[in-house]
Amino acid sequence: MTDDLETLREVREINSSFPYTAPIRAWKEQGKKVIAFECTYVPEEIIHAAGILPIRLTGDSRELDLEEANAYMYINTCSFVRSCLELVLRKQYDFLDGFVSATTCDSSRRLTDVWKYYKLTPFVYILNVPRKMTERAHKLYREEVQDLKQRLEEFFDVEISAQALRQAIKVYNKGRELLRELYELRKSDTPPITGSEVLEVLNAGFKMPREQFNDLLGRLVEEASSGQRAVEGKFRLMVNGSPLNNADFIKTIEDLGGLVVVDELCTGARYWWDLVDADPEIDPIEALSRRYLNNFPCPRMFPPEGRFDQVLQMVEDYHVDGIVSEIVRYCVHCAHDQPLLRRRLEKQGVPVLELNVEYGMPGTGQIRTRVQAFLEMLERRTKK
Amino acid sequence: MKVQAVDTTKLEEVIQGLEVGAQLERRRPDRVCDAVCYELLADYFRKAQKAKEEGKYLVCHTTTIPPEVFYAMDIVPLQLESVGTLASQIVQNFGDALSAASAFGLVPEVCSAHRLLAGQTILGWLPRPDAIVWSNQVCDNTAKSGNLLVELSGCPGFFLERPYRYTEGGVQYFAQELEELVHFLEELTGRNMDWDRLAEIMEQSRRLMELHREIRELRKAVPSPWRNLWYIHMMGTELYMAGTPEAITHFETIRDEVKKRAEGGEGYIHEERYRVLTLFVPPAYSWTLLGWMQRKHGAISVAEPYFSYRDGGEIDPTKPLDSLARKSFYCPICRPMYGPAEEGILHDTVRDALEYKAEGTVYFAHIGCRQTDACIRIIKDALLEEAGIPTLILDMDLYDPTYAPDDQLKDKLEGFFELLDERK
Repeated sequence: MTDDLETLREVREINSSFPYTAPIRAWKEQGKKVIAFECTYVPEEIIHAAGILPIRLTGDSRELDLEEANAYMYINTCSFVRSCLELVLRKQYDFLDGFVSATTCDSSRRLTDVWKYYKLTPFVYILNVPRKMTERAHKLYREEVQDLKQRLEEFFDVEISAQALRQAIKVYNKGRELLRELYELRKSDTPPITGSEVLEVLNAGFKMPREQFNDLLGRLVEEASSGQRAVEGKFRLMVNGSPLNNADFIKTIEDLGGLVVVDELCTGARYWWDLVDADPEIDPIEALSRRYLNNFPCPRMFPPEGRFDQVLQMVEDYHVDGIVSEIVRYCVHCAHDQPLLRRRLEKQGVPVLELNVEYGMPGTGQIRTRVQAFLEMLERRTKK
Repeated sequence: MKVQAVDTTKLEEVIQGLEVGAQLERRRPDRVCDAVCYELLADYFRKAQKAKEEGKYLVCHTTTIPPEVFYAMDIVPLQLESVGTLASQIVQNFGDALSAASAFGLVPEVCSAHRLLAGQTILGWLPRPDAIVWSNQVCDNTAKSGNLLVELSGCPGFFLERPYRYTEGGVQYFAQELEELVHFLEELTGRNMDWDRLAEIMEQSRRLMELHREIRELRKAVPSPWRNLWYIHMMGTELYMAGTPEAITHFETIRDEVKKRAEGGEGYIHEERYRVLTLFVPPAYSWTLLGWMQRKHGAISVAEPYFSYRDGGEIDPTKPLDSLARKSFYCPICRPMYGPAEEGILHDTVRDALEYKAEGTVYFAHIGCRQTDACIRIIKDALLEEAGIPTLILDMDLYDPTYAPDDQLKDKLEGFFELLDERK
């Protein structure tokens, strides 16, 4: 592999001041508001169209001591949510003006209850997200999205116009298209970017205005497409499972000889996968609610086959040799799906390494040993 | 994973255990309510065991699916968690079911109740259902476990989805989901829903709710006319048999007993020493803990906010699906588990503490229950601030006695009672 991509230096610069990154700081210095959203089922465009900066609430890209969060949420709340809460309680998210979550899992729902009770930000809203993707579910979800819009307008005394929504859709779609271009490059036998680097890019994107992120992404894609860089790995891997922000986790896998060419994570592909219909004839709230409910499904959605089929398709499209499933303890949706998904993957001849982890965990110790053994197993299969 | 052939020996052990229990309780005048409960349960499981040979459809379902729909269609329902709960008390080697689930790939972080469901299915302990129905009304485990059960059982399934907030739109959505469930069952059985029959059943369901509320009022008496264990018995009856005359008989028996004592100024125990709120449920293997608290320490469970009908509309039998949908937003378990805490469990707990003059709270923290446990801190703080009472957290696993042995739970409870003494 040749030198780092130049644009990645900017990415690392942004991530270095996590969570109050320089772009957020600059935004706040203009007297503007910031709202954290906690789940990919929250349509960021609504917040953007209100003139507010939506940022993704995440824990740090490393394993934290969760002492304060453990005092407020029981240890069986997943460590992703407790890590987020830990940082909030440590005042690292003090710059927030609001919080929007979704009813997507027990931990998310209860985090919102705790958030509301202790009034951690002036504005708190939880969006009811159906698990089904039927027309009836869509109607219900659309009403919820409409309600979120109205609450934002009332609380922040702003108007969210159809024009602003269309502009937000355009901006966010641009980001999605650029991310797709970046992921397309990873289909190559020797992609120009590693899996851990892509996660770093996404992490930065969660903590900056989307217009700036698009600019950065555009330059990154251009640089990566130049053919100057080729990353090699013995095996092409997919990482899937629970929320993951620690790029070092993926780096460990890649340092051992695996090349992570794609992911199925809500902090990765599931976040950006589908576009919002930008047809001017379609009501923007309608377009947004359709896209967010029908996007690449989270393991919470019903029926599970929707997710399973997309994972199997990704395996084919990205020529995946094996899958590393990282499941954060108490991420119940993933835990229930895993035996079913594993059987489907193995039926297709795709080996799966299951790692039960805590959010933020680096790929050291036992994880490193298990990944090593997994790669050795892939090697033996190749020789047969 | 190969699913083993059906062998209902374990279920038979549960039924026989209940029948023996009922006979023993019948001999004690103060335990007639318990005897009625065990007889009803034995009959409930027997019907499930015999459904196939009697030519009936058997539908297994997870907790909080309204059983009224099944009864109206002459379908035999079997609430899956109920078997695990009783099996853990009665059946030898019930831990084999947890091991089978583990071998299948379910990690220990999945609620043990749901690992048991999978394990029981894999081991063939339950009769093979004609269909499985499950919902999201309690937690992520209840929402997810049906997928796996359907795959293991090789039968059709229906996932019933309830919205989070109790709004008119939410009620409408859920009523339509129930209507779809009815169509699913009609297709399964080849029979149409008997809407007149459902209306009759809903009237019985309404009566059951009325009795529940009547009993709650009577329980305000000091000394308390209440036996701690009855709330668990009532919860079972409500969840498995709402809409049946048998359920009404059970509740009426309890109502009569409580009323007689309340009117006579007689407590269930001789000396009432502590009035406590009970949050969630004790481990299934140790329900006797509730009797021990009452008998040995004079600790009365005055209210159980996770299991109560509080605010909510009335059932209108002429609008059965709409009524069932509404009920699912305010009935026991559903409202406190799946809905915003602020206007749900948090609000109800503080109100119960004040209305029932509670002196402390015992919170059973099941390690597999992320919904209830994540509320511990806010409830604890609210109770201290608004009702001035302390809360004891008892860490445990509902089905795994190795997580927190009985003696350990008793030690912690005794320490808590000493604290309550100091506060008097």
